[in-house]
Amino acid sequence: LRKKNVFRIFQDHPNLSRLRLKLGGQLKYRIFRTSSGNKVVVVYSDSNAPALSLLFDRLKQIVQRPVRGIADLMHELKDNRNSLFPQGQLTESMNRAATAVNQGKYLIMLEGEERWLIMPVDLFSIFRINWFGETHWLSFLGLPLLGILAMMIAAFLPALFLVVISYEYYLVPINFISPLTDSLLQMPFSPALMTLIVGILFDMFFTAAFHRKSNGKMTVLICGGLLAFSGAIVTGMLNGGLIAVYGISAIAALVLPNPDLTRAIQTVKYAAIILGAVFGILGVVVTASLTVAHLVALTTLEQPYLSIKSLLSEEGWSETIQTNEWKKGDWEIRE
Amino acid sequence: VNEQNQISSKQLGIYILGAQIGLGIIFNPPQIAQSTGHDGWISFILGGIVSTGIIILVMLFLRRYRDKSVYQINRLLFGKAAGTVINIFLVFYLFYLTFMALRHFAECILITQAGHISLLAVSILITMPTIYLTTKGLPVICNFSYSILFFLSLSILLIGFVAPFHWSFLLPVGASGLAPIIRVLPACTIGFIGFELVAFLYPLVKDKQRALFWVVTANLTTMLYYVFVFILNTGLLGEQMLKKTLIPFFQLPQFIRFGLMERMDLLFSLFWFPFLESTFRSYFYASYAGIVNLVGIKRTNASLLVFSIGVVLFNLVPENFNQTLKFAELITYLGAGVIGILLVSYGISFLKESLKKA
Repeated sequence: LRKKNVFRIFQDHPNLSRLRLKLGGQLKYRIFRTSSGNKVVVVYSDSNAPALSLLFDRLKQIVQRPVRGIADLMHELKDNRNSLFPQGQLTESMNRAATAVNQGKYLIMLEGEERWLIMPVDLFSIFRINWFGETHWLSFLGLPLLGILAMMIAAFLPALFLVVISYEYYLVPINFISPLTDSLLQMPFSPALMTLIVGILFDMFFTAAFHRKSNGKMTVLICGGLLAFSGAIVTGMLNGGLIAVYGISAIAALVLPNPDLTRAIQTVKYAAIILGAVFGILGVVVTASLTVAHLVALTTLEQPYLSIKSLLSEEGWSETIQTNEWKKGDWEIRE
Repeated sequence: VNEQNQISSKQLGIYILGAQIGLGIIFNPPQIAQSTGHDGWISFILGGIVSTGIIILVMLFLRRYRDKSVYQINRLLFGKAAGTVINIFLVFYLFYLTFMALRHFAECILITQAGHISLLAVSILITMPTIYLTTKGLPVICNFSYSILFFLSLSILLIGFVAPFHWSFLLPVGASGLAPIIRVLPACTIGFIGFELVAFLYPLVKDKQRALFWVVTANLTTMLYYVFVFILNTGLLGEQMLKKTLIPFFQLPQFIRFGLMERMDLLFSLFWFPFLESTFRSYFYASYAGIVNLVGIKRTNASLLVFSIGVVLFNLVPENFNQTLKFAELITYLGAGVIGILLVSYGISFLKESLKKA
């Protein structure tokens, strides 16, 4: 039932006109028919926006073939298909979609799909969404900053911990570091290998948590995790510091609003651990440097992916705050 | 001219800024302080003004030959044989600065951070991001420098506000007298080296009428950075300490208390690595493009790999840091030579024109 309702917004003219009213008559849309018969709709507010014609050209090519799903569509629209970083944002939330359209982004929909695709995205716009339906402007400023901080912690905290305990131990006072290193000596493998093993264990947990189908399974997961890790610490199998660091980094990874970004950051985390284990802190810095280089080289619909301009643009921020107003009104789909 | 490598004049300014700031700011202040004492900042202001004058002359010269690279202009002005010799000198200069920048950068890391790994490993590691960016083209290099400059210049400002600063270390102004300030002026002007890269990139700029503005802005920004860093160094370390320190810039964070972190200076130098790399990155691209141009081969991943291996191998030639500093003395003469060639070419272009008219 829900699938139908989500798509109805583009067939029901009362809804569409209401949407138009909210956007000051700026809302425009264009419909493509795929060879398999279902429709692709692109919604946009500014027809002069860059990359719109590029998007239309690509869609014209894509709809020649049957489109299997919205994720498939996103993959076809990517500039760089090998990059791990998300080049489009899939969302089910009407509020997020409305925010995106008002920030000048395009909303792409496929008939029969619940999720809507937002393109083009850049690294900062992923964080500048309507997170949980906030109503105060301070949350609109604070949550993106929190998200960016969480991204850095998730990517580099385990590697930095490993580097500090194995190479750069003089960075922190001896009283602080000695309990950590003492228990590290009892562990079965070297600190680098232990960091990797615990990382994989945590990622297993992480993935299992996404499969939560029932409360029962979730209970087993939580209890099992608590018992396993506390048992491992008590018996000295694992280092308590390592567990704490990974716990923080796992929570930080869950903060990120885009699951593709979470996967990308997890991959960067392993690269930083491996290079950090071999070359010390220089390895971590080089990993960060290479990641930034990759992000700078990356484009979505030929728009830069990491641009300071987008971070500083007053427009983007004020739009994000203003969209706050609309979601109180008729934006919700009425049954 | 490759479409993919075209940049805007703002990006050109950032490229030049990236080449100027970086290694010079770290190594120059103690050398200048040797003769001028705490008045070195005056020399840097004078050096900035002189180098801005040179930039304006060089840009006027380049404007006369709009879409030609400096290599083509040389062949045009000096004839094919002499032009090729001058071009070989220019490419040698760029290559020399590339591997010297890499070596200085690697030594910085070995001294401050990574005593436990070899020079070869450090060199290969720190070259990797640059190679990746070079495969992606010139605009990406400029955008990368921009992002790095934006985020990291905040960290140095932070120190200026937090650290205990002694204005009295800078007084009285002009105590050293005029003579030493003038004597170090050539060295200060060479400290602004990096602006000569404009001659190699000028044909790639899309909006050439704004290029002069952005390059001069970049140069004046570098001047402000030099003055700021010198005043910060002197006000925190004191004149005598500054003279005796090899890399005073990395000692600055010792003056800040940062809770648990006892060695904030190490973390600070860590934040500066991508910044230091920007000098190397700018020269790396320019010398790679120069060699490809001179030999007349296509830009492929294989040729880039061979070039990178060459840079890393040459970077290993000096046996230790003292020898590296000796090698670096040549940079002053080479830089003066390149600036001289550009200015002489400007004169010759006028001479040729008047001969044609006659």
